[in-house]
Amino acid sequence: MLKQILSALCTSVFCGCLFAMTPLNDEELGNVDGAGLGMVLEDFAFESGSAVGDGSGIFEIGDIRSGDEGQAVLRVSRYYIAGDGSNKGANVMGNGVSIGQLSAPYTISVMDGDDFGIANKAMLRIAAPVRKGGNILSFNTETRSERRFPNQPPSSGQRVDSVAGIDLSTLNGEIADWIDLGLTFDLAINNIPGQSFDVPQSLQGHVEGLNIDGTQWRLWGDNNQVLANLDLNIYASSIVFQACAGGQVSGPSCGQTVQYSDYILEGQLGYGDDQPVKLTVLNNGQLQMEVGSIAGKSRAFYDEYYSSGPRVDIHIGDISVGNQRFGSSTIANLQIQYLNVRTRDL
Amino acid sequence: MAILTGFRSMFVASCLFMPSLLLALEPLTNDDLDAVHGQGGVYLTGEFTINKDGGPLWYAEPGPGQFDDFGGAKQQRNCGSSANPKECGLRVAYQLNEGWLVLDDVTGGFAFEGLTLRTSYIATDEKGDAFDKEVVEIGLPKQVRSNEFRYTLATSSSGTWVNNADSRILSVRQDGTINMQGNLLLFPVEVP
Repeated sequence: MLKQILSALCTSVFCGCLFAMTPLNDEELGNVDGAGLGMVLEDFAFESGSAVGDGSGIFEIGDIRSGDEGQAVLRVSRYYIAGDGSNKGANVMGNGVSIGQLSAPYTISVMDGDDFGIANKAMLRIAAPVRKGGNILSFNTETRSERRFPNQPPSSGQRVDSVAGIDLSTLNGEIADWIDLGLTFDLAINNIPGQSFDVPQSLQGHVEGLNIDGTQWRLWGDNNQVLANLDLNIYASSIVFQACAGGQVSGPSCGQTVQYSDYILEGQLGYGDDQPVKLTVLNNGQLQMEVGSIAGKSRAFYDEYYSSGPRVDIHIGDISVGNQRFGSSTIANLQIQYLNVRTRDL
Repeated sequence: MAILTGFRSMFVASCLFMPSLLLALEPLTNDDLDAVHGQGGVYLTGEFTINKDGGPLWYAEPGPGQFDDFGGAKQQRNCGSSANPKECGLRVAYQLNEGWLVLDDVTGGFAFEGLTLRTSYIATDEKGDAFDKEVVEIGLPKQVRSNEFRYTLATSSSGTWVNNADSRILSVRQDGTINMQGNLLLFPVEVP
């Protein structure tokens, strides 16, 4: 009797083990819908670079080619992340910012791809806080008709005419709660006759009131290849660039500032597994980013793609150089049917 | 008889021990755990260094081979220049398709003081709504010193470590102070 029980027990235990070791296929994994990991950085501030501390530090970014002029080296004197009122990096420590909130954290989660146009697959989602509402930008539209290809009949429909409004209440918090960050570096370009590493130029860029709520990467696998969709949502109340003489960050040696106010980018790259984004390395070692082609799809697909598919809207409230203002600038309803970007050696 | 006595005393001893073992294995309830003191967390000070003096697998100088700790011949791979040879650091290669994205020649280190690790209970979130979760709270160190920390980001047609990276994207060298403040909170979330 004992033997029978023992053998039954052994068999059942082994069966259980074998079952447990059966690999899950894509479809089974596709049904996985679990909890994720939430992340919040509270009262966060960060600064580094050669000008931080006793000033003896080194932070160099090298191996960047600069046309025929040889190698460029960026010597970073300061880079920082801080809260509102950072004053271009002068007020960083003690001026923290909360990146994410308990009610709207950054998350990493495994999700069912079916809800995102990726059939029968599980996907990994890395996401910034979810927005409270929809888009920041809204547009006025008008009915227009134009000929888009030579010798083809004109087509008419609703076209974007102008920006109707900017609604920041869709984002979590207010401008005073958002991130300031910046980078100041000396640029040294080697092998220029008459110049050496000792005569660099200083460049600085500062972003104020940055919010990326609604941004997310969705990643999944297919034939040993990582595919992705990207939602990119950026708001910055101000982006400033300025060039100065080597080692300087302010004063008479500095040129005029270039400032973007109310910079808004709302865009999607890729459309489920119908249009994945791929990052690949070519045979010659060059990096390639590809947004898949939508050629050869059905009429129903195109109808849906052009009415509610991925699009990119960019709006800059005001561009100014020194005291000269150039007004606003908008790119609306940009759709990418195919994109292939690759690096090459200079 | 002596043997019998021995057995008897063992039996008595095991009878004495068994109940205490069973008691020790009884699970603590949440209330019991709550009453445990000394939950202040962990305060960490440390330094980590990666291949600061070159890796064990490679040698940089031309000429007869050198040997690793297991007596195998080191491969020649120079991450410096021919005039100033240098052994290579850590290499992490990630295959994208046929090609590889490579974090190459990672060397150097970081020293930090005052990294704290603890858990805490948060009842309500910023808006005053119920949060009701335990969070892992990682307190960032106030200052981190980087010590000749270097890496190169590159793409390569081969993931093997004997080849130099085919095409460098950029290389970074950092030596100096990093100031920081804040807490990183980690907690489980329900994803809709």
